[in-house]
Amino acid sequence: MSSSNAVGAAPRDEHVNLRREVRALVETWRQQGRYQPRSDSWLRGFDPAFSKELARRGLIGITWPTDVGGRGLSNTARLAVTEELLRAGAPVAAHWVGDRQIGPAIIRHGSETLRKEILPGIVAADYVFCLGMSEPEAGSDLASLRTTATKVDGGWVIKGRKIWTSGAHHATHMYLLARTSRGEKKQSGLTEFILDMDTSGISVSPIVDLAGEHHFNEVLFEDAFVPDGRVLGSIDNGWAQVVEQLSFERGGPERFLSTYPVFAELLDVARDGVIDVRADLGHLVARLATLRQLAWQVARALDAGEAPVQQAATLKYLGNAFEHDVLEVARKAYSDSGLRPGRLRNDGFRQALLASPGYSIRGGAAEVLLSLIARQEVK
Amino acid sequence: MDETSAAVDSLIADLAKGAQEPPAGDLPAIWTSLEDLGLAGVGLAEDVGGSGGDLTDLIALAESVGRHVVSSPLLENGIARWALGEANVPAPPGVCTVSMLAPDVVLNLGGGTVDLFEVPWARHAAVLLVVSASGVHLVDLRRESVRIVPRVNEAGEERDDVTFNCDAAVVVASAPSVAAIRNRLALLWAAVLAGTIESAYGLTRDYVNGREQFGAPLVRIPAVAGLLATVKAELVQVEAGLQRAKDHALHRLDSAETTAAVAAARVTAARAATVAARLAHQLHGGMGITAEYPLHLYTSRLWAWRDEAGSEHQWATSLGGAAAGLGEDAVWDVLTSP
Repeated sequence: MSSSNAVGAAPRDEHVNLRREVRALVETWRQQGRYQPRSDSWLRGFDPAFSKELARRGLIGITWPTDVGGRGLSNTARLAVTEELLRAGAPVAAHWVGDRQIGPAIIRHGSETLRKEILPGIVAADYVFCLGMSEPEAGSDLASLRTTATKVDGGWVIKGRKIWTSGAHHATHMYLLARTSRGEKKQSGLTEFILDMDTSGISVSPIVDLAGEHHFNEVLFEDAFVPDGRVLGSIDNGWAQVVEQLSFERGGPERFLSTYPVFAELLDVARDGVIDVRADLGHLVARLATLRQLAWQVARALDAGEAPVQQAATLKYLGNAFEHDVLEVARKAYSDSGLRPGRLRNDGFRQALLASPGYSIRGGAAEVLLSLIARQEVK
Repeated sequence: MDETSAAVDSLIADLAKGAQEPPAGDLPAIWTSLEDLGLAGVGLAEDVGGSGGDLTDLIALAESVGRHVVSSPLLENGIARWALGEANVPAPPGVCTVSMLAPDVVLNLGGGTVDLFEVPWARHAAVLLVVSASGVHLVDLRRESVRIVPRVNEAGEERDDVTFNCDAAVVVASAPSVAAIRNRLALLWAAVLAGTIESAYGLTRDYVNGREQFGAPLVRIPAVAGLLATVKAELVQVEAGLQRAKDHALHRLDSAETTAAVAAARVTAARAATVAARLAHQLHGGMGITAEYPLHLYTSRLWAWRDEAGSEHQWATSLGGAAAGLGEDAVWDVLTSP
């Protein structure tokens, strides 16, 4: 009978050892009380010591070439690691951006000098990156940015303002997208740079969010000097380069696992709880399974050298909706709290809820993602 | 789509031309063609009268059936003949059909009569395979004592009420497991839905690109583009879910992983069908409501087929129940792993 002749492992259990290693690590740290699992940990869980531990184990930059400290593994291997870290709500914010998109951008477009200067620092978790993209007048419409880089002897002088810069107050380095010339189209004349955050002329001021937490910043550039060697890729070619970055930025599991700690608790509540949420839970499980499949497909596409921008946008759009809906099902499951201590008021749920408006805004608002998806459907 | 699947798809497309109207209670004429061309035997071994081909071929065929909205007993006949073939029970000529009860429902054969509802194509079928928590039973529908009340689903397809005496049902020993049959049938229905959603989406995309209002194609209106993209995102999910379920099913048809992957694919396809039907109509405006314009051929099937082979709610409840029962580790490693 065809249904019983093949038994054993699931069709794709590759990277099982990597998964085991990460699980053992987070379990140890958690048992030792060195971190508390939290929602949105890739933005809000900042702990350089944890990032250092991952670096020591070679778990940062694992897709990068070995000559810059990487391990030359696939993007599906990285997905196995990032999934397990987010599942555990581990504090990964210190290395997240560098590992996810700046390192790969430097590998694709950086000069030999820039690669040697920056990549080992990311792999070692010595360097903490922030993203200098959004501006007061350039949010979803990133190409409208006004921060300028003006050519001077030996480098460039930066003038302008960035906003919503997550982690700038912790960062050692910034990826900066700035205007180097004015062309006919607003997308032309942009250039990517790598800056040291201790450069004079850079000042960081906090923007406290509605949860009372400080993750966002405003960054002011008053004639900050960046040397020629810190140009990433080609001058005036920044738009084409940054668009490629978006498939790394949008196509990963952080776009659907931000509320995973609440989902994990929901599974416990559903087992013991008074309210029957099995059907809602079934829908969530189906969506989670599909999202994990989509993330795997994006990783495969990246391994094939593609930049799956539309696929990544679709993943992010669907994933953010899932993150929100986890909270709603949890709310329903918790609604027997009159019978026992109220779970709705616990810190994990509250943290996730207060962070939730940001999920579908950062990294491309839902409406922008939909218009990006639609653009390919217009004839 | 590979070459064979593409050839089959264009064959189905040709057969379906002009034959997509809801069948309104008759065995559709296209069924004879599907049998004559051997398409009804895809996925069945040649020694039981099938045409060969594996589950991959059958899934591709199911997608074509959905894409071109072919109403016929193809899936039910195929699954019944497959299960009987695996059990070495000869199947009679004519149509075989199947009734899949909810996973926790037992078939009470202790005496008297049994009532089953919404049995596909029962009035034209020779035998009925009943899949329930009690196992797999075969019912001879040609017996005089069998009573059939004809009914149709939202797409005009035969879904009859059947009453039979207990002694008309016999256990099918050494049939594939209940899980294997359930998973195979539900996976095929997910594939059908994927095909139909794809077609409804294509029709809608073409319409909003072609139809001009306010001096430009409708798709230039951002709200319209947003709804179109919403349907596209649903379609992407359905395809991903189907691919995942297929990978698991090809590995092993009745494992816990496969059951969960099939449930996920079924639930995803059903939810997407609802969204696609609603938004396809919304984006078509008045044109989509007419009998003349073909949209209803797709949406009526989406409405009917989203609850075939176990309703969306039933599949969601059993997947959610498994998740809650097994706990987080298993949800991560078994129920949702890529």
